[in-house]
Amino acid sequence: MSMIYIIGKVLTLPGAYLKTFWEHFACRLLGLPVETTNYITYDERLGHVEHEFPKTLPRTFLFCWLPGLVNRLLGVPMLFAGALGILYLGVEPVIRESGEKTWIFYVYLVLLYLGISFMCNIFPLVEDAMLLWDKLYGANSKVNIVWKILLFIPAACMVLGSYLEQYSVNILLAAAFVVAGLLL
Amino acid sequence: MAFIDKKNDEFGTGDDIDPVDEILKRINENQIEMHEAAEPAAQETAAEETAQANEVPADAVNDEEQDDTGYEDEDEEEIADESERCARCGKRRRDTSVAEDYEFCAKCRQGMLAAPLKWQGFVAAVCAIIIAGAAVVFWAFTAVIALPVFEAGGFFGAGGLVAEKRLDDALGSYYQAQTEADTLNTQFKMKNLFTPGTKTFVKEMKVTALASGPLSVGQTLSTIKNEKIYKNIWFKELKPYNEMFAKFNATQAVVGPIVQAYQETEPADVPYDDLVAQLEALKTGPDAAKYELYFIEYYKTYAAVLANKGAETELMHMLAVKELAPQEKWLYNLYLADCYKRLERYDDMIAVCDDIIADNTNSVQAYSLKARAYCTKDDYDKALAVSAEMAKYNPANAAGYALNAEIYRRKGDVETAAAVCAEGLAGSDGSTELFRQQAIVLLLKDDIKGAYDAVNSAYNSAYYNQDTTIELINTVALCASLAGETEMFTETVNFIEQNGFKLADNVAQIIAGTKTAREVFIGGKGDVL
Repeated sequence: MSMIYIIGKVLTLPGAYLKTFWEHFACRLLGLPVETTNYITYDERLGHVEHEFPKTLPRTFLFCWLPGLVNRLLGVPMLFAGALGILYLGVEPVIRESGEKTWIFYVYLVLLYLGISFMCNIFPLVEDAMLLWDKLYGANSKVNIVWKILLFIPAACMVLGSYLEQYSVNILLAAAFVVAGLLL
Repeated sequence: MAFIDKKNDEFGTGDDIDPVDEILKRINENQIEMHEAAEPAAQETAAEETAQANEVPADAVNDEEQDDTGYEDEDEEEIADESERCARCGKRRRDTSVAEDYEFCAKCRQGMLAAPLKWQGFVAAVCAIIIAGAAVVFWAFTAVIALPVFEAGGFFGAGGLVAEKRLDDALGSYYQAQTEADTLNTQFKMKNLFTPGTKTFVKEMKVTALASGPLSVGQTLSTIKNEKIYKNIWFKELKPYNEMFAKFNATQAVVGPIVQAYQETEPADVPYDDLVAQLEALKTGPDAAKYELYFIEYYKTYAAVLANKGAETELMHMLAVKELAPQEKWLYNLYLADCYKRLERYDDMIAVCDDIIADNTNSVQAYSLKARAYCTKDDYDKALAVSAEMAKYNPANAAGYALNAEIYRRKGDVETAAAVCAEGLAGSDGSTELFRQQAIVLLLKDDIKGAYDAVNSAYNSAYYNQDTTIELINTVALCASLAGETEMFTETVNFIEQNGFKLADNVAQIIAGTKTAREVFIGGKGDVL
């Protein structure tokens, strides 16, 4: 299974690399010790940094949420611009009616790839997501019910998303999105 | 990724990450211990922050010789239990104050807290932010082009003007998308920087096929000589139009020589039966597969026109076209409506118009034919309802005002007709027909000079818009004659005769004084013809 994970991360390397950087950044911000600072290791750590578990709920939530949020904020405009150009308008390297070339296609292509790459790296590692879930809803959780309610959707999304990323299902979803966009 | 506890081998996890259950179990154990110690969370956070404040550079952690942090280096001999050694440096004792099973010493922990962010990461982050900024700009410019495309086609074929059967409006939106792209390219002084895209072109062609017929699409595609283009995932949808156009051309090439010789012949001298037999023979000839049968049937109608066989014969051939290719409504529907009109079969005409409108709510021609059919049946309320429906789907359209004015005028409400004309000319760009209707209304109000000015505007409009009709020329001749504009009258009469017609009886009678304008333009057919 780890091979599928690594392939998924290699396919989306720009997003995975930046996600690692943002995780490291978040660790520094939240005072979490980081064991290694090598961002590209072709194993289960690809796309994440090895860090100590946060002890408090706010830190756990922020650590899970912030790096993905930054990747999402950067990825959305890229994905939308690329998808609008290639998938919705169907821009190609050549304007078929006139036979003339247009380089805007390559801009859209790069933006689409980077957008997908960033959007495929927006969830925490399963361990981190499960830790957040446990802190919120575990047997020993003493978290206020208000926080439990408020954080339910983001926490559930992060747990689900982390599993999708672990098995590279998000890459398949992205591929399906591209195919559907091209055909519809 | 959380730390890997390689000492816990009993779970058989090898070098993989720890099982989640085990991690959670350890977390819970830690939490229970912490709760038992009654240590408030705030103190815990403060302790972390204090530790962070005391952090040392990571380089110092790696440099074992320069230990100036006050942590005591212990030799391996001094730690009896090997499991007590730091998993990172292997020299100092594990810091169990963090957690009972914590793997690292306090010094290593300090170093890990201060592990520096890599400069390559900063470069990547800055690049990503710049690209994201550029993406926003490209997104905005692309959206300017995509918005009219979305307006026309909606999303994934749902919504949009095409789904609402507003085909002409949809074509207008596609045209606007191209205009927006051209405007952006002009602004940036770069040819072909922005383009509406192949997919948009294909969508536009499909709508054109519905609104104007597949031959219009085939005509456009004929300029593209590369046959491989039809292997493209989007372009392959247009291949049938190209094939249809090729078959039409093949049919025309073989039919042309048969009928061409009789185009200038007197109708009585046209051998209609012989022409029809020759056309029929094509259906079973050696090259029959090259032709579309319904195109051959269509040319039989043309033969009937040349032989002046009348609306009944033309209708018969057009119905045969309909039977052969019921899906090709663009070819026969308007012709059928015209045949029914000439045969005064108004109910059939209205049914055909309804069929056209059901496919394209922007078909101004179909609304006009339908409303005029109701007017001829003296059912002005239904005619006005048709006009209202037309205005609903074609707002601010000059043709809508023209139709409305015509209905009120034929109903006898000349004042309202005049008001509608004035409103239409103020609220739209005007049109040949609207100016003509205004001229007729002014004629009914005995404003001869005003009528001549209006019809002159219609004449000029027709010249520029190339929508001259025999009705218009007769109206111009009438107004010119009544206004004493002899030169214009002569010009228009000559024009009529050069095109094989003669001055309309109604016009001739009004000029002669045997009929009044009210008798011609109010009630009945309500027009010059």
